[in-house]
Amino acid sequence: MNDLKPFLALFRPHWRMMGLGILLAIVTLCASIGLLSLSGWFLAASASAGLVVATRGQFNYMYPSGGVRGLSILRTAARWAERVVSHDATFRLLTDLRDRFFRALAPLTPADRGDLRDGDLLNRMVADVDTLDHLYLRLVSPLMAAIVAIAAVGILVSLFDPALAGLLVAILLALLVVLPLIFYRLGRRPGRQLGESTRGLRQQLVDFIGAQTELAVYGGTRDQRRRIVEAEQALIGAQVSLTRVTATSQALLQLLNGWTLVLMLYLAADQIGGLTPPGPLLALIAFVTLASFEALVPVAGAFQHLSHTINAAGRLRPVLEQPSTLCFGDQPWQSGPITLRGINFAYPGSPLPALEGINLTLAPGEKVALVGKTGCGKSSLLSLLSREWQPDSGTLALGDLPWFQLSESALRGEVCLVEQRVHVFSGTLRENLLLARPGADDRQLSEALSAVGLDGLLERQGLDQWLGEGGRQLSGGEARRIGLARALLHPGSVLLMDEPTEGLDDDTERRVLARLLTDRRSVLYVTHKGAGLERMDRVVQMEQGRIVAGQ
Amino acid sequence: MDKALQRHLTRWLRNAAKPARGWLMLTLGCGLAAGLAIIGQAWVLAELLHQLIIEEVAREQLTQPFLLLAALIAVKSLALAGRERFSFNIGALVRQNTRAAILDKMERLGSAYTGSRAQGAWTTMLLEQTEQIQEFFAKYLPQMMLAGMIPLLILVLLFPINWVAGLILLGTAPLTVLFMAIIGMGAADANKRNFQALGRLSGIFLDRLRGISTVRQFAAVDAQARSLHQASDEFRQRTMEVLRLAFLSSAVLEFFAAISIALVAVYFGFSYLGHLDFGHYGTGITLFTGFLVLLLAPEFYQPLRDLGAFYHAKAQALGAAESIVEFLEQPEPEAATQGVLTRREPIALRAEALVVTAADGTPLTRPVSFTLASGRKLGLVGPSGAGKSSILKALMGLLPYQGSLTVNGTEVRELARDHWMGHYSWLGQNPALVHGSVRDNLLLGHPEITGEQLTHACALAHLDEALALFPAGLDHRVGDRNSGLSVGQAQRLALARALLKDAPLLLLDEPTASLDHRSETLVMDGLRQHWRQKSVVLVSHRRQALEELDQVLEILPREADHE
Repeated sequence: MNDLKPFLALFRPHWRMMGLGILLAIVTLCASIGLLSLSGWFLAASASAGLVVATRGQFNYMYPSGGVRGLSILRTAARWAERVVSHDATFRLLTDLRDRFFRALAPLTPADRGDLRDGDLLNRMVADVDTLDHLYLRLVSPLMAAIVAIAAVGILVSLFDPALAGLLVAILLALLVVLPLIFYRLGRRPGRQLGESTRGLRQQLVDFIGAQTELAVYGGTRDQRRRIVEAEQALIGAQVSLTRVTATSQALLQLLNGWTLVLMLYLAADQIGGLTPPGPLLALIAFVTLASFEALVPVAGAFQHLSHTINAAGRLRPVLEQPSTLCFGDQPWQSGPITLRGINFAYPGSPLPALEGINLTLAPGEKVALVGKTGCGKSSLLSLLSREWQPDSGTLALGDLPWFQLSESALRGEVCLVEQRVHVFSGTLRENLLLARPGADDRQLSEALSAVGLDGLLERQGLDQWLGEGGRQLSGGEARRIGLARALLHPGSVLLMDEPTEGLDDDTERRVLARLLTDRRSVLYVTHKGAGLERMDRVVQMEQGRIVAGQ
Repeated sequence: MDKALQRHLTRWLRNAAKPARGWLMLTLGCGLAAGLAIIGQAWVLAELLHQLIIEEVAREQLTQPFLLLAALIAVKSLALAGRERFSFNIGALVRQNTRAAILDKMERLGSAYTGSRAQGAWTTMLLEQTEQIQEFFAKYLPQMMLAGMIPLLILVLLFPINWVAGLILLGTAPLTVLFMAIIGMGAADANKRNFQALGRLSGIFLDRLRGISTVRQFAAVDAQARSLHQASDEFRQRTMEVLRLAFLSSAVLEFFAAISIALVAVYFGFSYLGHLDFGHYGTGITLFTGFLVLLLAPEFYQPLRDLGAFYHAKAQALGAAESIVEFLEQPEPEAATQGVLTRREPIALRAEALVVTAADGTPLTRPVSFTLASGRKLGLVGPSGAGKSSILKALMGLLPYQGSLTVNGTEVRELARDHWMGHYSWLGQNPALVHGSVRDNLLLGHPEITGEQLTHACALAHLDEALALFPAGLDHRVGDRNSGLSVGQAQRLALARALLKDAPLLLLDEPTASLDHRSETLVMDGLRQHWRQKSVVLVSHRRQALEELDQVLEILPREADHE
């Protein structure tokens, strides 16, 4: 239950709308109870009055019949308004929550994220955030409205018989509070299984879609389909258990409601507030009891929503509250050499160091090539400079300024990293390039594209062309050249490149390197190819996490 | 959504329910039992009130009706619980069938088609959209049948007792149905837009998540969060659009229910007071009649109100079903079965004026011709984007083509894809590894591979060196985006997997990409040793990889003026 607390705090900015929603819910309930009770009493009273000709004329039917009409209109209008207001408020809150979720997730480095998978995170962002709408819509608002309505019923009945009122209020409150708690306990396990099996199924589906060709070629499709069916059966199994609990809770609620009516009727039939026989008042008691069950309607589902929301909140919290290990200082960029002294680094869980005793200096404007075979630590070295990972020991500095004291904007503004696998976002070509230099004009963008030999992309829809998923799929070489175009656009003074020309033909490779290696920037260029090395000031050779030559 | 499409989708949904007929019958039985119990309950309660208030009978003489009332309440509760449980099974069965049908279709269309849509959109279709049709079967369909029966029973009961009360209920019923239909028409469309917004939101989120390090590197968290916020806000607006309609339809129903309660109360009240005197066939109006009608009026509308609430489920299911049905009815290339190759037959390839096209027919390459005798090796070179990988995809039977592309004299398009896939092994440019261990990946689909074969393939692909670095060895975990492996290690793992498949044709797309010079030499040596007996098509930029091939074909990009 503690998992819910931080989310209750999210209500604060929206309290006006939410308060209005609860108020409308109370009006709806009271109008509804009033309508049925008044109708019942009105029938009984007029029937009793009608029996005696003398009292017929005296019976004032204007107020009750007007009240019945007024309440019926009020109930309809209030319910509609309540639903629109409360749902809109909830969805605004969820939009805020998604925003927060992404912002909390973005600074998490691979080390912080641990083994949270993409499909899992997607599920949390979409489904779990959605589930939290229950918190207000199905729990807080209806339960608060129910409590107020029950109090109103109690006051109404106590005008005639305080003892009966006490009994009715006690039964209603007990049902309101006890039933959801019991069924929450019963539904907790299947509820958890439901969340887990949904995630399991999604993961199996993502695996199937992502590796469809590989599975087909290597004959793994049938196994994967079997795993999907197993995951699906787990999901349905959890849903069956939950349905069983739901059905039981609904049946029990109906039964207890009905029997409460029988009990109240039986007690009231004897006397109401000393009046024997009770006459038309008995109808009032019967119909108030009957109508007050409407306040309990949300109880049947409450337990389920309770466990759903608690589970969802429990899955969102670790992401929202995971502190990023990535801390930036507030120092601006300064000119000076980048120096690495005695750097050691190992990936978590790996017994072997990725980098060991690295000493390296990159003077302003200097072009250094890092060569060595795959897995020797070249990429790890770049990931320390781009701060994806933190060194375990050693010093990393810009002139006399420790690297981690640089502000984020200084680091990102001055250091550009071209990763080994360039990510092309699903978006327009322009958006993909503007990432590197917000505010660049179309001429600059086109120029960068032609410099990397991608002018072909401009031909049809030009910069508005949609790339990535759902748009033009780029080949591996084209994606890398998008990465290089971004590097060209980036205004920074340090360029880190991780095998940027892999998959490019020799001609393009030569042209692009010529552009990138002749400007004023300092360059750290990771490669295992010979091309471009003649343009470098220095070639540093790495082997098994150590620098073996060129230091 | 136009009428014809809506009818088409409704028909599809109804047909989908056929296998679950048994569960549907059980559900209806329970629903009817509950309805009868409710009517009985109203009757007994009205009678009790009449006896106690008008006749002033002492409660002790009414023990039997009190007990009968309690028993009827118990019957109703049990019947409702049964209905809930049986109806779930209808939806569960349909969902399983639907999901299997989508996956079958995806397999038949192949990855060239499925790759044209975002992964997030596929998972939305297979998971959320398929789940969304549950309520149609579990709630709407049974309610649709009950909504007619129970009100009819109530009318049959009331008319002989009091025709005014019957008329009040009967008169408002068609109006409610009319209003519901008017409102419901727009709901399916709104639902569809809602799904599109959700699919877009999921797609954007997954894409930004995959590129999160790039987002960080370019300090673009803020901008991306804003675009996500926009998509999320659009989703909210779409959802509200759907809900406003649903709320309006239930408000209309509730309005009529409330109005008829008010009318009933006023009619009976005035009758008791002697202001009105009709409707009772001259038998007079008792309090019993008044209460019976007052208690049954809400129950008369309840099935319709439930139907109104579930109408939303119908609209939701229609919205969800639209893209599912559209996909399931996608035309498929005719299943080719004519061409059959024997299992161990050596492979010879021949392409003549081959132009590979995308699924929609857009040409992806220039016309290419080549001949590859069995056991020979062909290299494909050329600038990136010229369509080298597309040629491999066409060879694999995944992309359509114009011109001719034959395997031992049979057109590739005439070979059954599953059958043809058994004859080649393939290494793609961005090899996908499945979630699991290194061993799971190597044994993918072939659990019978021996440890000896495994060791041999790892040595050839030069993977053994990397394995020695993992404490868990072959049980080393491979995660999302091949995490846990360096790019080069993943490449070598995928290569080892490709070598483990015993097939006469080997298709390699940049097998040594991301490898350093020394590894490349070792890997190429291993490859040459492995492929001696096989036919090979190899795509590469590396001069070293192209050495010792029998022929090298240069693929030129399609120029803009050819389009």
